[in-house]
Amino acid sequence: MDVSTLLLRSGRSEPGDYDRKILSLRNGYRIAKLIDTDIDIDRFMKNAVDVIGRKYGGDALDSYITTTMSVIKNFSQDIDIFAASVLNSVVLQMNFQTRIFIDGNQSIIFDGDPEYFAIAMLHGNATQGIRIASEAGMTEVPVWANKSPALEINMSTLHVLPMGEVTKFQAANGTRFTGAILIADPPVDGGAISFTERYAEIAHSLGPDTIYCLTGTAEMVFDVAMQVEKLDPTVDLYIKPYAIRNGRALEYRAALVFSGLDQLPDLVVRPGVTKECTFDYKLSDNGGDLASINYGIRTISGRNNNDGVPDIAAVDGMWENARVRRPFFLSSSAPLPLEARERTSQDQEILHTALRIKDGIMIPVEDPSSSTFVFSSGKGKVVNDHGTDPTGTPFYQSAKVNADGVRRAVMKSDRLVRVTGAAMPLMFTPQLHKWHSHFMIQCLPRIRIIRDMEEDVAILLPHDLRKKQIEMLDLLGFGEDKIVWIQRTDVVQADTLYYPWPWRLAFSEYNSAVYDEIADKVEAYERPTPKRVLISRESRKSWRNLINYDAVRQMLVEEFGFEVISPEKMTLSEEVYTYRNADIVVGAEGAGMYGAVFSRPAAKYITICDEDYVMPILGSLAEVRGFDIGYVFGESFRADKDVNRRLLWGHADFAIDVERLRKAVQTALS
Amino acid sequence: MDLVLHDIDIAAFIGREGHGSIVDFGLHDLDKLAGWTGPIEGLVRTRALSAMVNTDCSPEVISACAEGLAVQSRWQDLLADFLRCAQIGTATIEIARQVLRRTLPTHPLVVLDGPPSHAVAVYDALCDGTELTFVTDATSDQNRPWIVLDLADPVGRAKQVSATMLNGRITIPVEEMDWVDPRHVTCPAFAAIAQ
Repeated sequence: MDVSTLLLRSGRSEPGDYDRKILSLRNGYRIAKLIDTDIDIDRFMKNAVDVIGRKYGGDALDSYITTTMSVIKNFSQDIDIFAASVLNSVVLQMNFQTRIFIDGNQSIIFDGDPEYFAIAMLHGNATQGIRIASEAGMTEVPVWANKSPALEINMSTLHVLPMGEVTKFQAANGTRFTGAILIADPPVDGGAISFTERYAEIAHSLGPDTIYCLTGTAEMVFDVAMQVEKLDPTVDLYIKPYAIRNGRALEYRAALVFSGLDQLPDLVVRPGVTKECTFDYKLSDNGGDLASINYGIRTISGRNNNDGVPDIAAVDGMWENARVRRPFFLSSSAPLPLEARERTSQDQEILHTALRIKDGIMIPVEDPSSSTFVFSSGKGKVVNDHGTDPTGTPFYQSAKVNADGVRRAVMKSDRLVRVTGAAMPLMFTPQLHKWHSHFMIQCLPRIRIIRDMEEDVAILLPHDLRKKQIEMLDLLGFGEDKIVWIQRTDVVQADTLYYPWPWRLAFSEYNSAVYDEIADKVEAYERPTPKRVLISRESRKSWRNLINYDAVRQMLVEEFGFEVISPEKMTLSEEVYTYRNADIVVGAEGAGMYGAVFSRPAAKYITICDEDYVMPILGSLAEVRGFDIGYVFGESFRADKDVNRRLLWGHADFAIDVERLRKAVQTALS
Repeated sequence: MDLVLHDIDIAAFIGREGHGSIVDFGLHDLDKLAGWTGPIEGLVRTRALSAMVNTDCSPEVISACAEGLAVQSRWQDLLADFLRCAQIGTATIEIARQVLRRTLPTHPLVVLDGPPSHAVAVYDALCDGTELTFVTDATSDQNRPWIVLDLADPVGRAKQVSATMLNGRITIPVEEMDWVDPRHVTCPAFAAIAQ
C-alpha cells in the first residue's frame, strides 16, 4: 500500500467503518484531553467531523488517520485534513523507504504553508525534513507533538533553511538523496515557483524515486499535472480532486503525487487561482449574459431611471428620493462651506438597480488607494459600464494592451469560492462592513433586494462580521443555510451573480425598513433604559476624536442628567430598547447615532460633528423615523490650506463649543 | 476518561452533523474546473476520474474513466495499477470490463454483458491444495458464472470458473487457476466477480 491508495480509496465513511472509527476516536479523544483538559466530547467530535465523516484510504490507514487527525484538527482547525493526510502519507512512505545504513538520511523538501510542515513530518523520523524559508529558523513545536506514541515527531529532524543552504546542510548530514518535494498551498504573494530555478541547487540529489507532492487549489494542481504529463507521458501520476464546502459554496482542491522522473522537471507552480482577464465588456453589447435588474418595482416608491443622468441612463432601475429633515437647531463654531450646509437640507436620490451576470466572477481589488470589487464573466471579461469603474483600480492599471488593442491583465488569488445557483455580496467593497455605520446603511438592508428578486440567492459575507451583525441577519431570516463566508481576498464565481449598485450614504424608506423588522423580532429587554442619552466616544481611537469629550460629558451629565452609553458593548436587545425609549440623544455623527433606526418619532437627536463632516445621513433617517434633529459643529484640526491631505468629508479630530451644545439641548428640551 | 466514547453513535452523529466539509467531485465539477485550467484531457483526466470512481460510480464516470484508460498506449500497466490502488467493487470491475471489451474482446471478463452484480477483493482464503475457499457477502449468485482475476495481472490471469457456494462461502478448484499458489493465497488479493 502507498499514498496512491489514499488518493483512490477515500470517500464517505460507511456503517462498516464505524466500529473502527470508534476505536480510533477513543484514542484520539484521550490524547486531546491530555493536551487540553477543557475539551469535552462534543467539541472534540465536532472539530473532528471531517475525520469521522470520511474514510481515508484502506482500513488500516483510516485507523491511523482517524486517531492522529482527530487530535490535530482540534488544535489546527483551519487545515485541510485530506491534504495533510496526503503529505504525511508521502513522508511515511519515504520514511519506510529510507535506507539509512546504505544511503544515509533522505531529505524531504517542504515548501508552502508552514502549518502543514510538522503534520507532514509526523512519524517521519528517519528522514530529514527541510522547510524552505527566506532565512534559517526553528519549527515551532506543535501542541500535540509527542503527547502519545500516535503523534510521535522528532523535532530534531525538522529544519528551516533558505534554499541556498540546503546542499551544505545535506552534505553535513550525510544526505545524498532528496526523497520527496512537498508543496502545500503556496501563497499567491510568494509568486510562481519555477522548479528549475528554485530547486536547481538540489537537482543532483533528485532521481526517479523522488516523490513530488502538491496540494492546494484544484486550478493550481491540475495545471501542474498537465505540465507533468506533457513533460513525460509515462510518469507515475495520481491526482485526486475534491472540494471543501463553505455554506452553499465549494472550494475546489486537489492533491497530486508523481514520481519516475530522471531529473529535475521543468515545471512552474502558479499558486492559488489565476485567470487572464480582458477589459471593455459592456452591458450594452452583451444582452442575456449581462443585464441590469430593476428589483424594487413593488416595494420602492420612486421613478424609473430613464432620464437625468446620461452615463447610466441605459441602466434599468428606480430612483428613490431620500428626503432630509430640516434641523430644529444648527450652530457651528467655524464657517461651513456652502455644499456642507446644503447637505443638511438637500434631499438625496438613491439609484436602485443590480447587475446580473450569468456565470459571473467577483474579484476583490485592493491597494492603499482603492478598495472595491470588479466583476467579470466566467471567461474573464471584466464589466466596465455598471456599478464600479474598473479603470481606477490597480488591476486595470496592471493590464497590458496587445497588438489587437485588447487590454489584458492576470487576476491572481489564493482561493476561488464557487456558488451553485445565484449569489450576491452584501458589501460593495471587501472591507466595508468594518465600519458599522456603512454596514447599517449600505449593507444589511441589501437583504431586501434578495427578497424583492424572489429568487433563492446566497449572500456573500465577510468571515469577520461582528456578532451583532450576524445576529441581525439571523433575525431577518438569513442564517447559515443562506450564507457563504468569504475571506477578504477570495474570488467568487456563481452561476448567477448579482451586484447591486452601491447606494449613497442616506437612509430611505427602503433601506431602513429592515430595522423595524429586527426590533419586532428581537427578544424583549426587561431592564430600565435612560431617557437622556449621550453616545460615548471613549472607545474611539482612530480618527474623528472629540478631543474635549470630557467637558461635553460633564456638562450633559451634571446639568441635564444624561447617561452615557456605549452601543458597541450592548446586546442587540438592549440597544434596540435603549434607542426606542430615549427622549433625547446626543452624539457624534456615526454608527452610534444610527441606532436611531430603532427610535420613536417624538425623540430629539443632536449630532455633534467637525466642520468638514457634514452628512445627510442622520437627517435622512430623521425624516423616515419622524424624530427631530439638531446639529452642533465644532472646529477640526487640519491645515486649512492643505486640501490634498484632507480626507473627503472630514474625519479630522475636533472640539465642540460646550456652550453651543448646551443651547441646543435647552432648545430640544424646551 | 476513554470510556466516554463507549456509547457514541457515529451513525447518529453523521446524521446530525453530516460527513464534514470535504465534498466529493463530480463530472460537472471537472467541467467547471476546466473553465479555469483549460481542457483536462489524457492521463490527467483519466487519473482524476480513477480517483472519483470510489465516490461517484455513475455510468458516466465509469465509461469516461474506462475510455480514458483504454486509449492509453500503456493501458495494461495503467489498468493493473488502477486495480491495485482502487477499492475493488462493481464499479471498478465494470471499468476493467469496459477497457478489456475495447482492447481484448476475448478476455474472460468480457463475457459479462453488463456491470457485475458482485465483485470483491479477497484478502483471506483457505486452501487445502486443491480447493480455495473464501467468504463473501454475496448470497444470490450460486448459479451464475464466477470470474477470478489476479489484480496484479488482470490481462494475463483471469478465468471463468465453476464454484460452489454455501452460506456465503465460495469454493473454487485451484487447478483451474494455474497462477494461484496454494501456499500463498491471501494478499495480494484477487478479485472474485459474479455476473
